[in-house]
Amino acid sequence: MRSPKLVVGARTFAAATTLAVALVALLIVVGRVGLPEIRTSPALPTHRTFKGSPDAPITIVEYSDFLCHFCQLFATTTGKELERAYIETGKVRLEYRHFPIFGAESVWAALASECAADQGRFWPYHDRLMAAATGSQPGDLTVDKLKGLARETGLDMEAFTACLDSRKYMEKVIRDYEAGKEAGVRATPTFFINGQRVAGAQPYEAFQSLIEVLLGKPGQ
Amino acid sequence: MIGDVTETATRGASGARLWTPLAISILGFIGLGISSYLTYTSLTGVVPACLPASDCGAVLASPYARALGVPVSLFGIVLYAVLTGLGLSLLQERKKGRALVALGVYAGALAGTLYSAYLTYAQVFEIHGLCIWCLASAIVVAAILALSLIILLSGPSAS
Repeated sequence: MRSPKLVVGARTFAAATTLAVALVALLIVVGRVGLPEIRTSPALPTHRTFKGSPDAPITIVEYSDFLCHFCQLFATTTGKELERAYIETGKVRLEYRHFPIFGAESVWAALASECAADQGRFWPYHDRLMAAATGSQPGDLTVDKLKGLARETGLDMEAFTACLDSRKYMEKVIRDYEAGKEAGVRATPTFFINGQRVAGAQPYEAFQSLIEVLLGKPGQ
Repeated sequence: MIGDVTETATRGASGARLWTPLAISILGFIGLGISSYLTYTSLTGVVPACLPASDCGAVLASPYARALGVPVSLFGIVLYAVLTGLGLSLLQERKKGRALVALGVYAGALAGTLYSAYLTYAQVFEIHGLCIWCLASAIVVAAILALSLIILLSGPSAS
């Protein structure tokens, strides 16, 4: 066999290669210009889905979906570490907001968690739901399953069922979602640590270093 | 008669003549299907069918899924349509311009592969979620790139 030889001139080949590389570089640069920069999260209303001292110097707003794999991962690992290190010590207050992206199932889960919040049991229900949703297949998290989890959490079932069946918090869930979109949330989970955007289930160390920086600069 | 013989000889001389353009066309068609599906889900807001462990919804809802204000899969449709067309035209036994057409496939597939690599990087390190359709498309376009190189390196130099 002959040694391979280009069927076009080397210069033509180089020109085509350069053109393709330049085109992609341009597309990436232009595309990145449109990427949301660090933005300030909307003004923080006090509501039922937060945990930690209201006087904590740092507020983390989490936009999350019970069905998103990395949200589940955060809830069961990094979130717990943050809780022990910063939330229980009064340094951080965590607020959960809904950003349902996997359709009806996500929305039902969000509605159910708000119904648990009605009874002051958002976080126990949140933890149970995140654990139950981990590894679940699409279609697994039925309304019946959501009610079963409420029963396991020890909620008043009559009130929970009435709340969920009437989709009482639909407007709130949609409002959270809209606020998230407005603030530049494009994927879940997305966090705003004192307004500074952190996208994705980053490792604990990423949260830790940012929190430590912010703790060193009060009034920030 | 003589023409037929010459043609057969040309075909035999380079095994890459027939199967590579055919493979490029088929792969281009597959890529066209993938990017059409993703564009459809993006424009209608439907969450694409996805493997349980991956996060197609998160990936396709991320800012990386759009460039210049349109879903990136729309660029995919254009690219794969062009690549399929060029692949089909390579199937014909026209000698003239053949090298340039192959070069066009190469340039297009190179651009597609590089951009796919960037998107895959973004999935792993920035979005922390994988989209199986996007990865499939990345593999398809990389395969087309390899095939175009086979054609470009398959012959005696054009003269």
